[in-house]
Amino acid sequence: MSELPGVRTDAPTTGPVTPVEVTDGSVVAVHPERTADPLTLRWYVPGPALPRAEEPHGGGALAALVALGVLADAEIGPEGLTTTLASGRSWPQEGAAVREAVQATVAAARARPARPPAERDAALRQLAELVVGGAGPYAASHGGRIELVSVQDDVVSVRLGGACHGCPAQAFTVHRRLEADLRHGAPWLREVTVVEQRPGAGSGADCALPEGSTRRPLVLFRSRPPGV
Amino acid sequence: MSETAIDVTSLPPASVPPRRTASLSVLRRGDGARIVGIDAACPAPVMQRLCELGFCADATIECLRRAPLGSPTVYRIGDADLCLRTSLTDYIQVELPA
Amino acid sequence: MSHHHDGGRSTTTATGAVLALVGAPNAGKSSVFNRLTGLRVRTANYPGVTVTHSTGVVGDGPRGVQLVDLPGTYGLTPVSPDEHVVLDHLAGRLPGTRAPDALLVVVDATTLRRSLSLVAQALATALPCAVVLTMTDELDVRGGHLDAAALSQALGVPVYPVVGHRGRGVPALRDGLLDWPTWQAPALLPPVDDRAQLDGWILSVLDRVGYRPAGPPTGSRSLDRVLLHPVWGLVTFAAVMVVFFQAIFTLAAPLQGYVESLFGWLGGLAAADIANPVLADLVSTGLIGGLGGVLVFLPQIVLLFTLLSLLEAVGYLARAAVLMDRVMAISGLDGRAFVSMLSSIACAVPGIMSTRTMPSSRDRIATMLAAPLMPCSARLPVYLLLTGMLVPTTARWGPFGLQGFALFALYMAGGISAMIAASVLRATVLRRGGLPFYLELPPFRMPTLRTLAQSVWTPVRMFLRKVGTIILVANLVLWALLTFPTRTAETATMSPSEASAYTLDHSVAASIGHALEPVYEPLGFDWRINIGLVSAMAAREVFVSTLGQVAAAQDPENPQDVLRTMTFTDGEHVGERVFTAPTIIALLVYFVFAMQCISTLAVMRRESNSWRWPAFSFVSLTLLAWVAAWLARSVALALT
Repeated sequence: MSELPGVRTDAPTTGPVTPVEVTDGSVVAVHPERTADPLTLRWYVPGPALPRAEEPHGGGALAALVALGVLADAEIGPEGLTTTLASGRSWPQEGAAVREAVQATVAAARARPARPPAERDAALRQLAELVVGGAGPYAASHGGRIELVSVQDDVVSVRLGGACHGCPAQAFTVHRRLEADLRHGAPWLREVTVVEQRPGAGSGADCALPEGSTRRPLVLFRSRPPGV
Repeated sequence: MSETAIDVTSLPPASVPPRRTASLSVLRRGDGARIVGIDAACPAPVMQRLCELGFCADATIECLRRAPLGSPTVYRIGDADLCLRTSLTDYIQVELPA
Repeated sequence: MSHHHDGGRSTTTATGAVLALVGAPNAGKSSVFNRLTGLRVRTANYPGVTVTHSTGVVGDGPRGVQLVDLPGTYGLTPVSPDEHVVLDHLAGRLPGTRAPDALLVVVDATTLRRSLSLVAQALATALPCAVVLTMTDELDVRGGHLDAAALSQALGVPVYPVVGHRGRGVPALRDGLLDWPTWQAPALLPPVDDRAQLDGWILSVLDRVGYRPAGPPTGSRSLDRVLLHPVWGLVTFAAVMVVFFQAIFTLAAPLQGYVESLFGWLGGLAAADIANPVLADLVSTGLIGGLGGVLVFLPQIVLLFTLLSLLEAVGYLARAAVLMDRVMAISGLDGRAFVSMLSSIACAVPGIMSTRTMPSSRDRIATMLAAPLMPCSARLPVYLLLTGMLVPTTARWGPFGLQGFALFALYMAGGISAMIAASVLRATVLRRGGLPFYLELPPFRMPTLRTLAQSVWTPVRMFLRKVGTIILVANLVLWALLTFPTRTAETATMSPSEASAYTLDHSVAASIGHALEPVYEPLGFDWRINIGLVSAMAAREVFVSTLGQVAAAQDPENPQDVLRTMTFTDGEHVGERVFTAPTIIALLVYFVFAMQCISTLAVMRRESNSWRWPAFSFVSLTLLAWVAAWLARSVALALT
């Protein structure tokens, strides 16, 4: 005789006596979908794509679940919001808590007033100058050089020089280090593009895209934020 | 099903604009309305079934026609046409269009 | 318990998996079920309630599975005793039934939003699930849209779109169904315990599948404007009911005549070929006559279920229920009971069988118990005989013939008492355990021949196998009562009519008639009328020929003149006429109320799945009939 989980065998009793029962309409519509990894669920969220959270793991409730060790990871990525269960946990057990955390995160992301683009770019430029300084020595140690060309519309353009130029490892270098480091501090980063090196072109100091240069997006694979 | 009941009186006055609510029974042929809830006097199993039939808060409803002998009444609710007797429509609270 | 009735079959399939088909009413569930299982279907009652489920087999060999078609439901949280049984079945709590190994949820694409609530509840059972998406063609036609592949992604289970009535998508569904052990399960079950969370889940899934709801069914709307119109609606309804009633009453009558003549002819053939008179009578009257007594119902049942299935599949039955709900509400029933009550005017047997279209167990029982009071066609010969003896055929009252007036009064008495009985039952023994009336009006749809054939075949087969045997045995017992002990020696020199009268007068039935004298004496009935009442258990009209036989009439079918002069043979009234006006009135009133039909009791037993209700019906209606007849006779005696 098996009981059916989730189905009530008794009719619910009458609720508290109030003049009118009103359903709380504040629940965020989401539903989970399976991914290749049984521990990872992708949460579908209707409406426009979520802005990337500025904090790791989407911040707030989800980050708290990661901190608690319920989740191994949570991320607001380009395909939506994914949550990865920590080993030893099960979805039936943690599902409700994760769902609520996802809803809280989505609600927070939607409620967050969008920062004006100019402000975002300014913050991103500030960060990029720092990070290029950080990646620079790394590139330089291989005989290469990374130069910040421009920051505009959440896109960071860089120029690779020296041994870096045309090097097959440049994708790794730029993405793994640069993009990850940038996104860590500025989750709204859209992409990092590489500008072809032109002899005699202006230096990165003017932060404007040189005339005639073409952008080549480097979106070969996505990186996880550092610290994972 | 959790029966979330919001005590309307506890909400700040500004968030409760004056609404014309009434029971579904007052709707005349061709009238549309928005469901705001089900009367707490409604027995729980009936409330459950009404919900499953689509009589949930925020659903829009339209009164299609009354049966020739006065009862029951046919409504468009969700994607279906359903007929109910007055005994049931009295439980359903709707917000009338201004 | 009824689900054991196919004994041998169920043991061979018991090793295979059991899959259950769940879905809302009108979602096309039976269409899918019929497509998958064909005619290899058996129907059984759940213990204790009048809710049935059908079982069929899909596929052969070790991979074959049993498919159970559960009653249509809008949700899996039981809100009535009937739905409780379905849930008990799903949980394996019913003795004798196995819990299904997997669920197949039938979803009408045009009502996806509402149906997702049921899907969520099915997924929450944690049984392997798959979704059968029906009416996708209708969704397209009405300007809606949904992405079936995305639905499968969102739900995490297989989704099979089918167009049930055309059979499109059915082969894929059959293959998928047999592969049920490989069905994927959702990683996380939907939040069914919290209505707000569930609504959020539903909205998200709808958005994911790009759901655009279908526009209103414009064709159906235009039809409804006429069919539910205050004037035209009632006019069409009356017209449909006239055709319906004519078919089961008038069209069936000659067919039933053919059945009777065929079996009469066969009986005669048998009687002529068998030397032993008792054996000849057993074969011709008992066996062949009894078989005829079963098959004589077939034309009515086939016609009734053809029309009923057609009206239901098209969607008119729901409209008829809307139209008649106000009327039936008087009796505590709802509009869906109307057609059953109407059918009972032809015969209570198909009338009781037609209560299958009613979803509420309680309303079904109330209708079944009220149905025998409806003035059935078997009462008519009795009414004609007795009213003919009471008032001359030529007597007139104003422009009306008095006999017609008397007949009308008898029919009205039957109809009104049926309504009163139903309302009393609904207010007393059947008070609890139902939901208020609600009914979905599905868009008008064209049924397929296949679905129709199936919905006619199932009740016909049920009637022949389950009810037929009871009727046959009862007829044999009655034959024995009226025949034994044999009087071959005494009747050797008599004419045939005298001989049969002599045999009958000294039969077991006659002893019963004598034994019943104290009971029926206050009604003015003598022992020969009592024999008639016993024989009327086979069918009410048999009363006429039995009385004719008892009175040794030359033509037992028209015994009026003989009966008029019949006198008491013994007791204090010896020599007085039996059929006085007060006695005829008492007899007529007795026939209005009495439960005197074994076939009705047998079908009631079958449909209610217990002897409790037929026993209740027999006892209460016989008591009611006696009291009413006594009152009528007392009033008549006081007036004359």
